[in-house]
Amino acid sequence: MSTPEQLGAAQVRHIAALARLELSDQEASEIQRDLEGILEYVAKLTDVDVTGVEPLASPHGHCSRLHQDQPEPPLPGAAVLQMAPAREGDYISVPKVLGGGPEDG
Amino acid sequence: MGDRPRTVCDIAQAVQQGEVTATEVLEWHLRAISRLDGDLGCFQDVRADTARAMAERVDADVRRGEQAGPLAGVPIALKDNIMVEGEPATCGSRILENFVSPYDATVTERLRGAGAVLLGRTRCDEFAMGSSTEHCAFGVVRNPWDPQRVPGGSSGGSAAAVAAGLVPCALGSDTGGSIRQPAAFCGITGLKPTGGRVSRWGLVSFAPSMDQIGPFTRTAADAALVMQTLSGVDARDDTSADAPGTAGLDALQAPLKGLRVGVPVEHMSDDNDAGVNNAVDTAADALRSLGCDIKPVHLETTDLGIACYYVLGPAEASSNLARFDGIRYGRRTSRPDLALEPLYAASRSEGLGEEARRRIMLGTYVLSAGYYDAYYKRALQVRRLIHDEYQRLFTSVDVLLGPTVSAPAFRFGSHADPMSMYLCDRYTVTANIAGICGVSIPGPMTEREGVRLPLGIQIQGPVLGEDTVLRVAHHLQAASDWHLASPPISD
Repeated sequence: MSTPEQLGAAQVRHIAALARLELSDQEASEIQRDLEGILEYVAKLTDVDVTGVEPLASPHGHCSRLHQDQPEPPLPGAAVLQMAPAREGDYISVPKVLGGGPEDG
Repeated sequence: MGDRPRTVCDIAQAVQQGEVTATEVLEWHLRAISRLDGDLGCFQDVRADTARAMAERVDADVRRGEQAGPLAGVPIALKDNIMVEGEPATCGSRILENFVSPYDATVTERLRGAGAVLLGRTRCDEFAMGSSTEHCAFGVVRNPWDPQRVPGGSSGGSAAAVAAGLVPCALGSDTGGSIRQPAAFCGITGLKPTGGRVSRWGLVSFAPSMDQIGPFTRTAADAALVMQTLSGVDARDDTSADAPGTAGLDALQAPLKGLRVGVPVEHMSDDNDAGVNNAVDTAADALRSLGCDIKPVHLETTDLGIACYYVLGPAEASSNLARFDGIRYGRRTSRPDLALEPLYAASRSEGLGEEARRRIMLGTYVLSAGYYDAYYKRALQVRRLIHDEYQRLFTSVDVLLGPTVSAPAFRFGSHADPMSMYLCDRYTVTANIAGICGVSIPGPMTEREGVRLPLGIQIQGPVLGEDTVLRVAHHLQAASDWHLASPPISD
């Protein structure tokens, strides 16, 4: 990818689907233009010699550690449930997952 | 009210000694907010009633002769991505408009414990993505030096509130410059601590390998006092640094004689705006007369910072923001009869703004099959190079000195192209990529079209180097009056 990546409209649609975003035709073409501009700039990373360089996912190496396996007080259930946009009793209501029909669950 | 206490240090001391009450201090600030914030727009939410209750508790402690805490009666505002139990945390986004935090962030809890008075939450760019606070779904924030200009971002509300004297301290978060850049634009002190120095528990994540909470204050001494409360390991954040907290005011006193200060030539670019390099040179001269050894150094990876950041940041953001799907909390679309996946997409598209969507798309792309190695893995390798260059440099210098931003605050709408906005952060992002610390303090002022504007001086230090960068900042402030200038819109 020494030349800037050209995104096709179909690829923008594909990324939007992966990202769970709906884009109008105009939004899709604007985002295509923006992403191409950004990727053109980002392409300067390809000019760097990274042979044998170990990736660094996080600079927190000085402190990352495992959490103690001990039970702690849970979040306040009622307050958390209160924020669900749709509820039935103590359950969060969502559309039917299996079967694929457009029914509210 | 000319000689009332205005800094964190002075307010805390006056309240502890019973010279003023926390309630009086709070009322001064609430009056300033009601007089000025209609024009400035710093606050998303002012919580006068809960703040009054907190102030009364501090006053009761003082009356009983009990320890009132190191930040007794100090009004503090929080960026609206830091959780306060029972209050919203909108992150500047429609998708979280109705969210109510079920618990306190660790920093919130620590500030309460130190006697601070939490008086509200400030506007920011949506999910802390931006350099101008123009990407806040709930309104603009204006720069108190010139209301035609942005306060910087993403923590623009916090920076403008401190600059205008609405609060002596506010917290922000800095993922690529979001504390230091608005501090520079508003003429105040803003510290981005070492990655992990302050717990991120209760900070809404944008890019956890780079996100860090830090304070905005008028002085470096204030930042040191507040950091002593904020810093230190937290069992709830497994990336919090397993090291003692910062040393507070005690760390500021040692003289600077012999301190080695590097000035990266890559930060002193001819492309910087007029006056910027002069401001750094003036600060370097002041440090030289305090006994510092100033020398030019190279930071050759500077030019790779933004490219690296705009792979890593969006990649982490696209993963983090996947949780906003309209199911458990946050906005759900009102369109009827949608199946699950269309419901996710509709809820997200209605709730997320332009910049957040742009970064989610970019992050999804660089992590997608076939592109991962070319973008994400390569950016992580470049991150290692940036990290290693800083590490090598900090064996021969103690701190680095340069401009925070290449220009003063810009006018609204002047960076409509996203790439041009991103480049504002070119001198700040590398600290987040490498996990080191940095502070921005006001340097000599500049002037644009007859308006005086602040310029920021950045002092970067190694991992866990907060005490050192704040000591340098403190001595510079003791030797100059740059941090004492007040903007035209201020209390």
